[in-house]
Amino acid sequence: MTSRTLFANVFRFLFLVLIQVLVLRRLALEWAGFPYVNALVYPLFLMLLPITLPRWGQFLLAFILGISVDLFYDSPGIHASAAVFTIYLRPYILRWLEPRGGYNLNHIPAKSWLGYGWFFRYSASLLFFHCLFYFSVEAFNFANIGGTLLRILTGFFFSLIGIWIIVMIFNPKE
Amino acid sequence: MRNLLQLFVRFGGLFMFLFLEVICFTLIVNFNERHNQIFLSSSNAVVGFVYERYANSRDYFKLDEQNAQLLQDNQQLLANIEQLQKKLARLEELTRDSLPRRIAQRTEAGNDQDDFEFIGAKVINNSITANNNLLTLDKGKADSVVHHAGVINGKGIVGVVRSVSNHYASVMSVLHRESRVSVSVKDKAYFGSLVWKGNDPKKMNIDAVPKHAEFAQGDTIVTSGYSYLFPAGIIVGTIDTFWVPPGDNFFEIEISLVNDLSKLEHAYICINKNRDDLLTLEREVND
Repeated sequence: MTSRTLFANVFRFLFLVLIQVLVLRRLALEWAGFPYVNALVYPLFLMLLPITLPRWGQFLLAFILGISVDLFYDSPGIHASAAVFTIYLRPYILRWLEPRGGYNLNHIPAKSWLGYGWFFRYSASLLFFHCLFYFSVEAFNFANIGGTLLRILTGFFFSLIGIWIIVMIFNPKE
Repeated sequence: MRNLLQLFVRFGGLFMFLFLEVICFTLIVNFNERHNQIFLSSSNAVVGFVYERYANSRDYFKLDEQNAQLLQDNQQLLANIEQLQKKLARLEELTRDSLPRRIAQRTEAGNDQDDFEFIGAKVINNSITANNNLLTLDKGKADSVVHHAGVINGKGIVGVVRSVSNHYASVMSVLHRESRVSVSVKDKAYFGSLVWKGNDPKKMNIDAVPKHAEFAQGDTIVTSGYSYLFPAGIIVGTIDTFWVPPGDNFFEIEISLVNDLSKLEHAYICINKNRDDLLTLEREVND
């Protein structure tokens, strides 16, 4: 991993956490009467981690990322558990979407290297599992399962839009 | 050893995943109020069911013993009624048409509405050996038991309801390190909070009694009634020793518990009828 990749990831971490807790959390609070506008963009950090990063490092970063978001959301462990779940699934999704020639291990799995179609399937599937896990753990019971499902779907939809806006603006390569 | 290492290489991701999720869920159920409540009441429902089955089968074998015990209790009660009726008759004769009688009638009318309602329950699980002791009762929301209600038995206090599911209640025994009950010295106004330091299930401590208070060894300790949990005057224990730690303004009091919590079979849950009223008032003051 080059130092450029390292800097890019540190910057991405800070940027996504700040966007999440300063902008999107406010947005969700503004719409408190309608609890479905809940976009989660920080999973983008997990999606773009280098493929060659050791597994334990990926887990640790996911945990730290989740806990950082939790600190601001005042919900210790909820975002962290979802982030750990997402990073756990990442290799399986990567294997499922592996292009014919395999991955270039020097590149991060990003839109700029692997194309729109590939990155859409990749981000959507990881994000779906993230939202599924996050909103289920947040509800923590089966009492209002319809509401939870609706929150999963709308949260997924808004998160995907948020992540793609960021990807279109910055087009990350490192 | 090598096999173990190979296992870890193969399933390392899964181990890491499970390990971190355990940490996350520990955080979730410990530090999120709502998640904590859901976790307690659902675990309560499962655990309560198992314990009830166990207690039922155990009770069956102890029926003889319990019958004998109840018979003895009944005899005692009947004897008490006899005595009391005699006393009452004598008193009525003495005070017929006198001033004290009229006063007594008036105060009786004033105290007509009881603050507390008592729900009898069977203890289906109990521990006294752990640092934080809990017990389970076979009454729950369906029997109008609520969160944070005091629990007593015939001899004295038992604990406080910590969470309720539909048919069970989990009670934090007074022998629990987080348990705090407001108590006072009988017939004196001094009050403090009853805590358990975690060693002897027959000994408890009282904190925060000011240095100028006066009492003696052997004085009775009762609940103070300064909370919505317990009615005033439930017996707790007797004072063993007391001293003021150097540089402190409060007594350190050690008492011996009257109630033997290792032999609990039945208990009564005290439901304060004014509970909601009190809670709203306290919340308004705190906000």
